[in-house]
Amino acid sequence: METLWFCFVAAALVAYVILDGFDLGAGIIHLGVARTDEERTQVLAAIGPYWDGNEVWLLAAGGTLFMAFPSLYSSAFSGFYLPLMMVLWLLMLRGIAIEFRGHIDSPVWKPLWDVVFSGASALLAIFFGAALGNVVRGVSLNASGEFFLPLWTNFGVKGEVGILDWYTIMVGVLAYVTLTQHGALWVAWKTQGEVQRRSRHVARVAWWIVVALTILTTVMTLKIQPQVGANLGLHPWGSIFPIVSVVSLVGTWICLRRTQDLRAFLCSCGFIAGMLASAALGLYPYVLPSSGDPSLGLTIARTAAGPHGLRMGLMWWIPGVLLAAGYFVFLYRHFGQERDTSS
Amino acid sequence: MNAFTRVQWPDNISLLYYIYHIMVGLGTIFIAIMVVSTLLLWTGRLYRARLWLWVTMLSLPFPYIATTAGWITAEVGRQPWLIYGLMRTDQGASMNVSAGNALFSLIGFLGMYALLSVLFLFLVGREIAHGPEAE
Repeated sequence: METLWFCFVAAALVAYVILDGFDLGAGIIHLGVARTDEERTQVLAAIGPYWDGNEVWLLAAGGTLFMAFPSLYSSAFSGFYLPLMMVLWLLMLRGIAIEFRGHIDSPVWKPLWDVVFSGASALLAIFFGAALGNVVRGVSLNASGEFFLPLWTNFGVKGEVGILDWYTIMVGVLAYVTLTQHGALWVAWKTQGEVQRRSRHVARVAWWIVVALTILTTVMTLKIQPQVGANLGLHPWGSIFPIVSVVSLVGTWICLRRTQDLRAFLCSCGFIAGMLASAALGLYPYVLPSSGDPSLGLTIARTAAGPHGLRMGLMWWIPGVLLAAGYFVFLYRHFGQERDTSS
Repeated sequence: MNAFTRVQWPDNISLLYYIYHIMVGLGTIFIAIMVVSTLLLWTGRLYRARLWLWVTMLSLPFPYIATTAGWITAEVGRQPWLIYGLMRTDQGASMNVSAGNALFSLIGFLGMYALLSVLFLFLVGREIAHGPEAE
């Protein structure tokens, strides 16, 4: 039962990164691929009906975590207090920027909010990547399963670690580049003309960096977190996840070459899902490993709610997620055929 | 109240009393404003009643005050419980988050909301000065 809930949390997070990932990515490339006001409106229109709905999956993941693994939730939200507050402010600023931008038609007002939107999107991508890096690397847990991380210490990955060290920064940069490519492919599919041409170019350049960083990060992850390699040995079927990632990455390149934007975007979704699923499988049964003594790491068995609570949870979680998923299917079908033809 | 010793009595009753009455008082005023406005609208005089339109425009800040007062009522009134009868507020505080970190986030939120309020007032003021669309 704990394993099932572990999969639910992981699935909600994968959905979040894939969905909100493309609008964060659109934010990252916003200033670069769209130069004039008209072009920037095009980019914003491409994510317009989706971006706030996509953030639902972050809330769903957080809520599921709270319900199924309460002591992990309490430990992690105290321990990651500072970066979580910053993520919250960035999410707020980004939403404000999208909403406020259109209110005043002025050469000062609009570019100001474009910069806020783009900057907050870029920082969020790096923060989310660094967060994943922290969870994979592990944190300095004490015997009662609690911790508090400063923003950085000596940038090393052992002992008294900080939020930022060379490994988590590397994962942050990988997330940034991956979402840049992801967003560029989405924008390329949704727009036409100059914006589309520039987005395709961004995606092609980003692809090489994604490949290089993926190899580097994978090697470093296997070195830093031996659990990941051990788990793949233990569950050989799990190698399906890294294989999906590699195949999708190759697929992205082929589709980019043939300028099949939608297919390239779907391949990018597959790449992200494969990478995150590999990380989840690599950590199992840990939900938050320890950077010091491995036995202090938080496992699903240690942090899960009582069996009755988990059983009852299924009765609202499943209908709730079906409702949300149904809404998303409706939303994407409704707007799916719509491409901006204004230019 | 008599079941508790005097030292355990809450000392925030006056705040709770006044903030609750502000909330309820404003709520009553809203109902009154709505009733009068609806009557004026039905009789077709609403858009020409200059004095009344001024009243409705100037009551703009009241809903914000009322919702804030409502939150304060709920949060002050629930003390000392975080979960009623089960967990006290002082048991719910994070052990690992220092006061300095909490202050940091408080200042951050104050800054964020100060910025937002200024922008909000600016945009609303602009909208009011701009006036309604010509029919």
